[in-house]
Amino acid sequence: MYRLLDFSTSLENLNIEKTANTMFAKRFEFLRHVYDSLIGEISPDRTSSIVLETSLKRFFHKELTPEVSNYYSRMSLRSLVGLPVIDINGRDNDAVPRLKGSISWISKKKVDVTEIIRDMRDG
Amino acid sequence: MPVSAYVDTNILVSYALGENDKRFHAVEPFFEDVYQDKFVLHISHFTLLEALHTLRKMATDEVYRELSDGCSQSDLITLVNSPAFKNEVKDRSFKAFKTIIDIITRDPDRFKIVEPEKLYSEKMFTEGLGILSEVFGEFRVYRYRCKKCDSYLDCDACGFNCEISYKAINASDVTHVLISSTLECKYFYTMDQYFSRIPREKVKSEIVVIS
Repeated sequence: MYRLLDFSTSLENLNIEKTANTMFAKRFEFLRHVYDSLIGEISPDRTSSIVLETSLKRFFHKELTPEVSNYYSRMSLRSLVGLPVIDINGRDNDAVPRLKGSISWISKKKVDVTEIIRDMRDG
Repeated sequence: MPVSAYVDTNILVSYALGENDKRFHAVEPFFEDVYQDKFVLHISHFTLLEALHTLRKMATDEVYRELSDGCSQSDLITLVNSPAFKNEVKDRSFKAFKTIIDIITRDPDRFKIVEPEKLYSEKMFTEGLGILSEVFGEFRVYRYRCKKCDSYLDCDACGFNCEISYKAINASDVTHVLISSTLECKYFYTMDQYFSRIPREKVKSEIVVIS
């Protein structure tokens, strides 16, 4: 007699999402090391960011978990503008208050940015 | 559970400008709600590229205003062709842009950056054309003003001191709203009053105009 094995408990214990995130974190640590080396020793310009961006695209299955997908989007954007990578688990809970007036220095005069954008869109 | 909201470029830049934007106090309570986890903001790359262009325009205007009075056209042409001028505008605007990106990418619970590989179909723009065909804007008459000191101006040749301008939602506006709908955001937040003319039934996201 054959008996079908029940894998459901084993699968639950595996916790696929946790495993995926751990794998991702390990891979990312390696990439970050490469990126830091490039910044520090080889190329201080956009090249390092491009290498990182390409690596992110190639080596990470961003559809793995929502967290990885979200992290991929954020890192791609940071890399695009030449900002350093940040930790996947890092959270700045005060980002909203920090954003408030963060670029006020760009204009000494009080402006109406809604009108500026309206004019821009109108051409 | 926070509700998803797509933000128009004017919302994001206004808040980042703070007191230096005339409508900042209107947008501040909305960000208080974001901070209290009532909303999660969806930031598209379309919003960001518009934000960068806006910052470049603002930086240009600011550097222009800083010039001493009485510059001739040839003085200004020489100035704008100099690498120093270009670098000044480029550096200021990019520094501001990077500041915004740096902050919003550090809080994934409140700012969701749309996936770079997200695809939008031509159907979206067909819907946009349908909206734009239905909505007609309005004409406004504006006085000519000096960009440097805001004084009113008259034309020496024709004597006119004002112009007619057509104001309405256009391609960029509609694209923002349709991206918001595609991302299935519950709300679309803007400070531009022209959005209120978009028929409610035409878009999935509920349009909220902060004023």
